[in-house]
Amino acid sequence: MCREHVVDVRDDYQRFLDAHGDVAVITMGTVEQTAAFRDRNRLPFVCLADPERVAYQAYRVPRGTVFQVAGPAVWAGGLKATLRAGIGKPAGDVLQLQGSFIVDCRGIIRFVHLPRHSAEQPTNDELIAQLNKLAGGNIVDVDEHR
Amino acid sequence: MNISNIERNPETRLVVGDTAPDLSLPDHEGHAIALASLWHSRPRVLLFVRHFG
Repeated sequence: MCREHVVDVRDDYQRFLDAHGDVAVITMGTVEQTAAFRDRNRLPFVCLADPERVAYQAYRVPRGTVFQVAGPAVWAGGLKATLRAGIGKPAGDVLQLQGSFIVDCRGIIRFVHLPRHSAEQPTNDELIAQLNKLAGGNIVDVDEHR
Repeated sequence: MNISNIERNPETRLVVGDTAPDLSLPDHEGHAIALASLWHSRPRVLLFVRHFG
């Protein structure tokens, strides 16, 4: 879940809403860095600042090894991001990996995606399919109570 | 076990069916947002960003 993927989610945001879901981004930046990130990428959804990585740890989002963050599997998919991480000054912990969750209205985790390396993340189609499945599941729940 | 080991050990990872941890984080304007308030009305995709790039 690097900048490129968040921008992809932004471009498909209406599809997430149409699937009866919504999106929130959690960053390792300060409030100011998170505000700049949200503004620069024109993100319409909630962006939360977690510079102490409290939520990252609560959700057990793994830290990688240097190999996972910058190894061969990453070169194909995320060379640009990796170069930026090496040359620029990324906020937070460079070994921290990304993670994606879907939480239903009862606070139950219904989808987890934790990467094996830093270039691996779910597609929008995968996330939206999960939301549609949840929406379908809720209808089945209603039927069962009739 | 230190935090890094907990985070790397797949057995301690959250799985489907677990209760999502609820905690409060500031949004981009500094307002405290409880995570539970995010999924109150509709399912919420939580994207933990790796770095700003």
